[in-house]
Amino acid sequence: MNKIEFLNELKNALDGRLSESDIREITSDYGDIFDNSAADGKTEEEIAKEIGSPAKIARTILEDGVGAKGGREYTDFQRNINEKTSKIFDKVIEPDRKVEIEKLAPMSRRLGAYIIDSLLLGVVVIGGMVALFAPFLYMVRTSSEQVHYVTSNIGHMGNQMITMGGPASRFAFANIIIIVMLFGAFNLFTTIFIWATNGYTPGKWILNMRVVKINGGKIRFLDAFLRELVIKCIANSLLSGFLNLGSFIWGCVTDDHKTAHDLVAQTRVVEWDRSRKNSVNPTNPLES
Amino acid sequence: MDTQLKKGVLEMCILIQLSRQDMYGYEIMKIIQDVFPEVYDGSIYTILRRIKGEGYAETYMKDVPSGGPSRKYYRITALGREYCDRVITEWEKMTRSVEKLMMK
Repeated sequence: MNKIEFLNELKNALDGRLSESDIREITSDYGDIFDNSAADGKTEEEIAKEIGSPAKIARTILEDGVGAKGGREYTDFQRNINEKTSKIFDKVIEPDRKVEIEKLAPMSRRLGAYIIDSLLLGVVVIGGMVALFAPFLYMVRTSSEQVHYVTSNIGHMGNQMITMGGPASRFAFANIIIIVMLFGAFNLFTTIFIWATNGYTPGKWILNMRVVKINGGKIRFLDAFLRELVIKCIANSLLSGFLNLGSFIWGCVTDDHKTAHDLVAQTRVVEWDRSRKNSVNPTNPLES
Repeated sequence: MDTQLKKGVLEMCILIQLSRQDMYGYEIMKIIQDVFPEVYDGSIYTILRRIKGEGYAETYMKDVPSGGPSRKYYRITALGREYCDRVITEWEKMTRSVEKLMMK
């Protein structure tokens, strides 16, 4: 069998089962084998024998299924989208090779830090609440017939405030708004904290952990802002708190403990022993 | 050898070659057959086509310096490099595990 016969047989075996352009590409590939092998001093017959029967080659090509008819044909736009989404998906699924898994802080410790930070948040909020409600409580106390409202539980008190109407309820409503803002203000505080200390929050500082950038750089304000305020606070509130919960579960079941806020800010939380000497001048552990 | 495993290994070898420099089909085939003499020509072209189909490599035509028909060169893409890195990591992990098992 010479080159022409071989290529014709291959083309016939593929005809109708692959697109015209695919067949043209395949036959040109096999034409290449002939041309290049001929340059090595072989005859076309020898080469054809070496390659094997065209029918068998056609079968393996069709089994392999690249570009086979029946498989989905994508437009360039769809391919582009698929590529992008699969890249994002890979980022979520695949561990980052730059981060050593041994150095990553366990999720239990991160939860601990979260609880410490939240307790701190609680202190701030309750402190704020007491400060803001104090004048209101004073007002209630001075009108003698309302005293029993104060002595009943706080949730009950909320209902009473609404039914009371007038300036008192408006005052209470304003207070609630201010409390919501306090939550945001706390996240703003941790944002600035992480940015200014290059990776610590009070809870993380106590539990020997740090936030670091994957690329080894310093944490920029934007990173801290995205991580603490946009994702942990705003996006999480919009999703009724399920975002942080989902992040925690996802972090527990994956090797590199990647949470939503880590993913967005391109950060990881690593174990960081402050008692070591280099803590004086905190360098990024991922740089070494 | 199991054909699926073989395909995967050959694909990795080809990507490693391409990550060093652009190559044309026949050149790749010769290098692979140097170390895997039992691999037949067609399967390498099939793998090359799949690599291209997955977007791990792209092709371009380049003239042969000595004249003659121009050759189709394969160039690895960023996606291909990323994929190659991942496969190598997996491969190293796997061979380590196998070695550990054989030492027992």
